[in-house]
Amino acid sequence: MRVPIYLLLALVAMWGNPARAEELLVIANSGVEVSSLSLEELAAIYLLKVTTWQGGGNIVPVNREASSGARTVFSDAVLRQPPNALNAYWNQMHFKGRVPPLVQESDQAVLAFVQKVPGAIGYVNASHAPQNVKVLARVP
Amino acid sequence: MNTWLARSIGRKLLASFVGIFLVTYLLTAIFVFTSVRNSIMHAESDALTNQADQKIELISNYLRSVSTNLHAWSHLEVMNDLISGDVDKRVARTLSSLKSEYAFGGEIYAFDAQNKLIAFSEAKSIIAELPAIWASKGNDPVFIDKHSHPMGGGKVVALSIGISASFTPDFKIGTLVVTLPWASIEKMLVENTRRILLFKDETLLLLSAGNISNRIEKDEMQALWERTPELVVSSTRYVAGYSEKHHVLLDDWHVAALKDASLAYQPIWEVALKLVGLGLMLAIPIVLAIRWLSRLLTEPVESLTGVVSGISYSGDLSKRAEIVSRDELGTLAQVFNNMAENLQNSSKERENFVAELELLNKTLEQRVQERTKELESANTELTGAIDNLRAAQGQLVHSEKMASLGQLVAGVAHELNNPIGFIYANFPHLEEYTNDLLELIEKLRQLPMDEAQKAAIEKKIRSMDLDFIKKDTLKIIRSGKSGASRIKEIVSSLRSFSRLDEAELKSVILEDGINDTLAILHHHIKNRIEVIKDYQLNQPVLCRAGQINQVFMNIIYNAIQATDGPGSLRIATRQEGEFAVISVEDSGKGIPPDVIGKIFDPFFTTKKIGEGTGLGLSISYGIVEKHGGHIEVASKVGQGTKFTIYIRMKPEPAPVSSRG
Repeated sequence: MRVPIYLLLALVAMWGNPARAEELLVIANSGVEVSSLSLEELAAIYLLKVTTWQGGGNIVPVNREASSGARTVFSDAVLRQPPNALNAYWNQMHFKGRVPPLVQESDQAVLAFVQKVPGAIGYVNASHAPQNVKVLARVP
Repeated sequence: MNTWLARSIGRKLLASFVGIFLVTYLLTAIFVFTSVRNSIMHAESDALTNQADQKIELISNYLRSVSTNLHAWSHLEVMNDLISGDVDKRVARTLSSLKSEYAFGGEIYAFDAQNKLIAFSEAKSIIAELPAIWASKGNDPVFIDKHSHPMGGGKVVALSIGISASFTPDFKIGTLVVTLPWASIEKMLVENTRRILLFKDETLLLLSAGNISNRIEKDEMQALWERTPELVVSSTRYVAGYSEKHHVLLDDWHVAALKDASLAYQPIWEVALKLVGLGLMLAIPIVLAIRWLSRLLTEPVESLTGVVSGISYSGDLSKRAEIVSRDELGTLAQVFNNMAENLQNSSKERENFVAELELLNKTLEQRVQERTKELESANTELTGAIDNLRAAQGQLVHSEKMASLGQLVAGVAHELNNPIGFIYANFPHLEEYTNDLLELIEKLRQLPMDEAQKAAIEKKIRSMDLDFIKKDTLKIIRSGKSGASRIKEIVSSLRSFSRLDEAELKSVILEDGINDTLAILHHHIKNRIEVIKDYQLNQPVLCRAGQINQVFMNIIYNAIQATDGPGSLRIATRQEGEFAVISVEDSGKGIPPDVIGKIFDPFFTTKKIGEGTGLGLSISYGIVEKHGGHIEVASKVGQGTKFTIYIRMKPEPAPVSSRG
C-alpha cells in the first residue's frame, strides 16, 4: 500500500522547481533551545544519529524533495554524500524503525511545518527572511 | 356398499387391496410430504438466514475494508502536510487520487488539528469545520451510523479516524473522514427474489426497507425484532431468515431476508402435486393388476358356480367343471368333479332302487293278498284248533264233573240202597199187618157189647171216619210200595249210570243205557211226553258205556227241553253195517237254520244263563267222534228235531286215543 504512495510522491517531486545553486538557511521551531548548529551537528541530525535536542524534545528534520536544488545543495554541503547513497541510507534507517527526514515540497511548506511542529528543523532558501523560526545555520 | 361388496369376492379383493394401497400410499405420501416440507422449510429458512448473514457480512466487509484503507490513509506521510495547511495541495491531490484510484463512491475529508477542513476528495475547496458527528476518537476508525450529510447531500454513513504525525505518534495533526452514500449500502442489499430489511434492534429502527415500498408498522417491526420465522409485512406474508453473526463495526445492525411465502411454499405444493400424480400413476396399474388378479381368482370360481348352479337347477349330474389351473381352485374343481361323479353314481343307484321299490310296491298288493289268504287259512286252522282245544277242555271239565258226580251218585245210591231196601221189603208186611188190623177192627165191631160202649166206640169210629182210613191206608201203602219201588228203580239206575263213567271199553246193551237215562229223566217226561221206543239193535256194543250214556243223557234231555207241553219222543236203535245207529226224534220247536251250524260249538247255548253250559252237545260230539262215529242233525222249525248217532260196533283196529 505504501509503495504506490512513494512512487506518487516521487512523481510529484519530479514536477518540482529545478535545482538552483543557492544559499540555504537552516531553521528550527522557535521552541528549540539550541541557538546554532555546526554542519557536522546538522549532518548528524539529518543522518538520524542525533534525535533529541540538547534542551529536550525530539528532533523532527524536514527535507526537500529529491529533485529540488535546495536539497542537492544541502546534501552536497552538509551531508556530503551522493543522493543515491543517502536514499539507501534513509531507507535502511526507515526499516530500522527510525523516521527519515520528512519531505516538504516548497519553502513555504517547510517554513509552515517548522513553525508549527515543535522540535522541527528544516532548511529554506536564504532569499527570504523567515518569520517565527530560529535560524540555526547558514549553508554553505 | 356392504351388499355391493358382499356379492363378489373380486370386489372384496379389489376393495381390500385398494384400501391397503390407499392407506400405504397416504401414509407414505404424508410422511414424504411432511419430510419434504420440513426440509424445504428448513432449507428455505437456512437459505434466508445465510442470505441475511451474507448481506450483513458484505456490508461489514465493505465497511471493514474502507476502515482498513482509512487507517492506512491516516498513516500516509503526506498527512503531515495538514500541519502546514496543505500549502502544496499534496493532501488534496492525494485524496482525489485515492478516490479515483479506489473507485470510491463517497468522499474523503481531511481536517487539521484545529478541526478546519484542509482537503477533500473533490477538486474544489470549501471552508468548513469538522462536524461534531464526525469527531474521531483516537487512532482507530469510528463508524458513524446513517445520517444526513452535514455539508448537504443525501443520507450517508461515515468512518472517522484521528491522524497522528508520522514522526511523533503523540502529535495529533487532524481527522480523516470517509463518507459513504447510503444508496451504495442499500445497493448491496438488493436481491431479486427476496426482500432484505436492515434494522436496528435497540431502537427498532428500520434502516433499509429493501424494495418494500409501504411503510412498515410498529408491530411488524416487533415481529422482526422477535425473529419470527413467518411474518406479515404490508399485508404480504413472508418467510424470514435473520442474520446471526456479530460484526465489529455494525454491532446493532441486523438483516432480515424475507421471501414471499407463496414463492417459498411453491416447491412444497409442487411436491404435493407430484405426490398426488404419483399416487394416481401407481393407483391405475395397481387397480388394473388387482382387477386382473381378482378376475383370475374368481373366474374359475364363477365357472364352478355356474356348473354347480346348472346342476342344481337342471339336476343334470353329468356336467363337469373345467379344470383351468393346477392351484387350489383347480383342486377344488377336481374335487367337485369327483363329488359330482359320486353323486351321479349314487343317483343312478337310487334310481335303480326306486325302480326296484316301485316293482316291489306293485307286487306287494298281490303278495299281501297271498299272505292275507295264508293268514286267513292259518287263522281258520287256528280257530279250528282253538275250537278243538275248547271242546277238549269242555269235555275234560265235563268228564271230571261227571266223574265226581258219578262217584257222588254212586255213593248216594249205595247209601240209599239199604234204607230203600228196608222200606221196599217192609211194605208187604205193612199191608198184611194193616189188613189184619182192619179185619180185627171189623170183628171187634161185630162183637156184642153194651150199647153205651158200642155207641162210644161207634162214635169214635165215626169221628175217625174209619172207612176212609181203611181205603186210604191201603192206597197209601200201595203208593208207598210204588214209591219205594220207584226209588229202588232210580237208585238202581243211578248205580248203573254211575258205572257208566268207567273208562274201560265194555260190551253193553245200548238200550239199557237209554232206559236208564229215561228213568233218570222220568219226572221230566211223565204225564207230558209220550216215549216211543223202537229198539231193533239189541246187541252188545263195545264202547265206553259211561260216555255213551252221557251222550244219550244230553241229547234226550235237550229233546225233552225242546218240547213245550205235551209231545212225543221217539227213540230208535238199529244196526247199519259196522255202525250202531240211535236216533232220537222229538216233536219240539226245532232249531233255526242259522243256528243249526253252531249247535256242536262249545259254549253255544240257547238257554238262559245257569240252565245250560253250552257244553253238552259239544262233549257228545267229541265222545261220538272218539268212538269212530258221528252225529247228524235234522230239524224243522215248529216240527221237531232228529239227532242220529252213529257209533262203531267195535272200535277201529287203529288205536283210538284213550282218555284214561
